[in-house]
Amino acid sequence: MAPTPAWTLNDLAHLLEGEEWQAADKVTLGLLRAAVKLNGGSLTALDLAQMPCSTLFAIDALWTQASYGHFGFSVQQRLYEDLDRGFDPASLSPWNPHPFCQAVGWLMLTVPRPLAFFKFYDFLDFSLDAPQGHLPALWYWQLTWWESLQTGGLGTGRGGGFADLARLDALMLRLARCSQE
Amino acid sequence: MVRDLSSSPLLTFVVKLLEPGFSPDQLEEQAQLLHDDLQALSDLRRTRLTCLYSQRGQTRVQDGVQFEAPADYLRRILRRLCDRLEDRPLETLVVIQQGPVKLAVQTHEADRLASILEAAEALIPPASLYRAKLDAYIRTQGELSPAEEANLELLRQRLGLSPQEAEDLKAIALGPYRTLAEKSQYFESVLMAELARESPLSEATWELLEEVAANLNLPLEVATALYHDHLHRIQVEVEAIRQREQAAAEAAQRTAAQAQEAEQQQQQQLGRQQQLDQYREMVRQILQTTLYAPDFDQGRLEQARRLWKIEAKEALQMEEAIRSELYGSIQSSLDVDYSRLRQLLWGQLWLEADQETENAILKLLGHQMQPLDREAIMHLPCIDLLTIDQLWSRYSNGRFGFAAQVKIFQQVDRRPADFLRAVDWRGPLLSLTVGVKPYKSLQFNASAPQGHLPTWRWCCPSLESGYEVSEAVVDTLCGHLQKCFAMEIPPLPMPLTALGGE
Repeated sequence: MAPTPAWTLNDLAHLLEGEEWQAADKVTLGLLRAAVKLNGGSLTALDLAQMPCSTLFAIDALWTQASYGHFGFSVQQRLYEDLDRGFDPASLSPWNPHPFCQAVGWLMLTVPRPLAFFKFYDFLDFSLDAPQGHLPALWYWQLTWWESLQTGGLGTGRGGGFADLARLDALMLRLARCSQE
Repeated sequence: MVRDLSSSPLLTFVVKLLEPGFSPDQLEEQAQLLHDDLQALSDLRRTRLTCLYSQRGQTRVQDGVQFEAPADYLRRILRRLCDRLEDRPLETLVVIQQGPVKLAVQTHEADRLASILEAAEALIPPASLYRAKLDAYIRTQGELSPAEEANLELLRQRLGLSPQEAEDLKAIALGPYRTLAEKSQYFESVLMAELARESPLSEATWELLEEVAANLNLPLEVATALYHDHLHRIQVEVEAIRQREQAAAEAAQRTAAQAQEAEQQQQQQLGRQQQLDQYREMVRQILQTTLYAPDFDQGRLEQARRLWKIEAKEALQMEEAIRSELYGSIQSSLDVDYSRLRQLLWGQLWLEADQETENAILKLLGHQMQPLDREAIMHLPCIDLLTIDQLWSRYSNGRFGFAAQVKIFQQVDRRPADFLRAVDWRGPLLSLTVGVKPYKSLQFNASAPQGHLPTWRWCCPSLESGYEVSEAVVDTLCGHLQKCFAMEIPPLPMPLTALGGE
């Protein structure tokens, strides 16, 4: 696996200013990995739970600013908290994913619904026409081959697989805890 | 001043100008000059000179003077008249009368007038003349100087008095105190006696003393000087005494004032203590029913605080102390504020209290709110853990809290897996989720199983997918808590295991 180039927040800012959303998403994952000293691979729930608050805040500030509040972690967290309130995790199943995943447009909305398959990464909408909170997404999509298989995917990351609530919840909980510091 | 003139016989003098050639105006002018001349004599300065008038045709013209003078002035008066005649020989009639005897001479020649001196002196008894001289000398000095003694000796010879007679006269004139020093001494003793009675002397007393001085033949100036000396000395003494007394009085006043001030301060402190006690009682009454005073009571407290002038900070501390006493202390070793946790527990808001517990514990270690691993758990400060436990325990009657959890851990023989099931954090292993429950499925109410709360969500990376506490964490935390309870650091207001489980 190729080592992740040493991205900086400046790189992210430039890409976001140029509305290079997909490239910005990749750089975002790189920055998150670097923050927890990860050379490659996916971010586990524990990685996300220990993510430095300052990194999360800095990345989020750039995304929300460039997208006029359309993308960014804080946008996702707000949506997640709103939707989570009415969701019973005990009812979680491949046919009943967390309502957040649907709200941000990460699910394949093909018939027959409601199957909770995730979109393949390249099919995400990298524009401001995407639903609110659609991006950043790669931090969630990037899985190892084995993890991908575990979640029902085809070794192609999140795409085609089911939701992984632990990872999603870990970042959202992390964001909530950071905002309390 | 009373002059004792009895010793010196008085002579009556009449001097009249008899110049027929003068016009009335001229005559009047000369009579006036004569009058002024005689008045200018030092001996006659105090003697009243009576003007004499005579009829000249139609007008009444002043032409002479009449006066009385002591016999010893005779020489000087006659000499002055002689001088006048030498200067301006006017026809003058001089009459000198002593008792029934009268001596008259009319002349314009000085020599002729001078010649009557002998005759005039013969008018007076020699003893009385000698006595008059003697008196005059003594009156001025209070004693006889050698020159005066010599003069008197000459006079005695001229008058033909025997030395014995003269000595007797001297003895009478000088009185019992012969020298000025003796007189002064005597006067002084009288003065002191009077001053002892009153100081300064009244006008009347001083007049009496003046008379004493006159009778002693003590010159008035000497007497006055003595009086002033004594008065001054007395005044100085009195002033010294007054100052001493004033200083003593001031000192006494000062000590009295200090004593009063101390007493006042004590009373103020006492009053202050009472006020503080009253305020404390008021706070206690209000907090008896509620954790935080509603607006109305807050207003009452604020008024009382202002009335009794209690500092806002002090009042707040007092209020907090009472609140801690009534609702559990919230001490922290790391300045974490547990008042919100206490408030939530007091309100039986279990879910919110659980979240607040996580918040407090994550803040304790300052690890950027990262979930705690076993290493971090070992570093949780005991004081804070006990504070949290004490609050949970108090408001759940011992059902919740770390102590309840530790007790269960001991009951299951320190087996972590059994502990997780005992507190109902893990479901049956044979379920779809392998026994892991999402955080939301936990029970946040007062009837939850013993030790179910507070959760240890602060060691979990995520909660929605499953509230998973590893067995290693159970082992570590329970061990750490047991150590903390064994230390028994703060005196806890409630027994930790107040409510038995089964």
